[in-house]
Amino acid sequence: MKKKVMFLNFRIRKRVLDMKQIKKTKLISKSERKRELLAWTMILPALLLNVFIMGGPIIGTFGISLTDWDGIRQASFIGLDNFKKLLQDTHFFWAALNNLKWAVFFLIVPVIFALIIAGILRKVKRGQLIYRTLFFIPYIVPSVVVAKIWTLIYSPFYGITAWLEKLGIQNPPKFLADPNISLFSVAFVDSWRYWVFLMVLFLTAFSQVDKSLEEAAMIDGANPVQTFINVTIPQIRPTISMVLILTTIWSVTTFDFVYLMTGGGPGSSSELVSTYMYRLAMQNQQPGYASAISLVMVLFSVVFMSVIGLLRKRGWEI
Amino acid sequence: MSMNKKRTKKEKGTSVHTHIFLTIAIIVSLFPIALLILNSLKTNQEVMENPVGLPSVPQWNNYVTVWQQGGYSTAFLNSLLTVVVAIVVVVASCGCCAYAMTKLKPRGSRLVGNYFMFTMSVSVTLCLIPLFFLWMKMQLMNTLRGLILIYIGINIPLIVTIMKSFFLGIPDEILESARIDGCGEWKILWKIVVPVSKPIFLTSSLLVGLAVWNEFFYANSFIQNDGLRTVATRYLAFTGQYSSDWSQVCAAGVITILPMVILYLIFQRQFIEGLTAGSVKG
Repeated sequence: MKKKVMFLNFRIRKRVLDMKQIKKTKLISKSERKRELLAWTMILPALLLNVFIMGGPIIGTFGISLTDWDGIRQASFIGLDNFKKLLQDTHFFWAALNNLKWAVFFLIVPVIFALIIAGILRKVKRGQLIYRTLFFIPYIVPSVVVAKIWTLIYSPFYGITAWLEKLGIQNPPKFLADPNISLFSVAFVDSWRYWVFLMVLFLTAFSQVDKSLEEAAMIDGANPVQTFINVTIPQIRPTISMVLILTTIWSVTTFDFVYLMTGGGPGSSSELVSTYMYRLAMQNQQPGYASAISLVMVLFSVVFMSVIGLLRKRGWEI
Repeated sequence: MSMNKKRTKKEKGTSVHTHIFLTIAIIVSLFPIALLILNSLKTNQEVMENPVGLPSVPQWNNYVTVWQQGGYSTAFLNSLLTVVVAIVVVVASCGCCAYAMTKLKPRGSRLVGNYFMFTMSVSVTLCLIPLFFLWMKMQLMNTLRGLILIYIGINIPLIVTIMKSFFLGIPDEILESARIDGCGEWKILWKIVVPVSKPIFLTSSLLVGLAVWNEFFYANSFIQNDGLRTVATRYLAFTGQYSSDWSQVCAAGVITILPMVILYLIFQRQFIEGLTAGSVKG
């Protein structure tokens, strides 16, 4: 009924307009449509390529996670059984705990390093760019090479361990071979590469800080360290919270260095959720179960981001 | 006057301390890379006896041996091909896509933007399992074509996003006046947008190049044939084979990182700005 009225209305209006006008509006809408079509032909190549490589496979992962597929035989639908299995998988929880330790390490060590060096570097007028360039080098070195260099440095025969032994220290730490510290030894290597990235982010944020506040604090008798902690750092809080959020999300999916340096060992002391997932998929022929695990990883990020978004809406300043 | 003098003196004093401190910090933080280079020039015996010191006689020959034994000529060709094709396809398709999304804004383009934000934030490991079996079925496993296709797909969201933020800065008036002069959208894109956006095309190319050169997750899982390996995975295979010979492992490492380090030293500003603007982990 409503549609009919609108249609009638339209017809009356149409009659009111003179013919020229009608022609013009028709032309515009036609060219408008043509433009829209053109715009979509510009968007589609990139979109389709990405859907083919990422969008589709993500849906595929979801589908596979609902089956008991072993990669070879016909898969059968088992509903949420993989996720139920996950809840009883102690190895998964062990790996998730390691991811949590990893996140805690990353939220503290590289962030503090980066804040300190950026805080010092921002005062340097001459040569700041050169320092920044040199500091940033580790970030562009591929992880395969970084992992190998540090395996040499950690080597019990020629590395730090041997060197400490020579100095007469009894039982020096055996970084990658000691189950108690293997995870942190690997995390340190990754953070050696990661902190420079944070440093550059902080340096950019510091360059926009209001200097008059600092000067006021100094005049009031605060020393440089106090000023830095109480006046300067609060001013880059948006950047810091962004860094903390990014670091948390990346800590959930981190893979490279554990895979390259310890493969999750010794035992499963440095196992992460991602390395566990990779092994299940590639070696243990359980792509169905592995898909469920990788979905849980994504789910964590999505939930985490939603919570942050919700808190921000509620007026939390994070 | 005297106070002024005192102040400048004090500033000078702190800045010398600062420079010394920062120099030490840089030496410590680049020490592992220095170690890689130093040990690449030693004999294996020397690495074991004296891993930290300077090489007594630089063994330039290590590089020649590694280059031949590691099959690096093929690996470099493979990587170069992969990088070039990925850069061309990604930059071209993302340039068009970002232009249409920021300047033509057809209905539904915001949805596409949200979709890219999502795929940019998920880890690429999520796509591994379906792609692995799809590639087996499509016989793309163990081919460079298949690998290049993956690299193109996973780099698109980031490049579209940074290109979009650049194109937003191009004033609409210029494009509008070109339209009034009868320019078609393709012509506007090619004659107006591309010339003023050279910096972002350079940054995007460098980002894709770095990501592809350094990538090992997919290259390692999808390529088993030695003759098809890229430089990064060639390094993995080589160090797996010659793991006991540290001088060769280090020489191969230098060969692997050298092209990107040189590019970085030339384009350091673009690299740093690009990598931090996208806020991605390499």
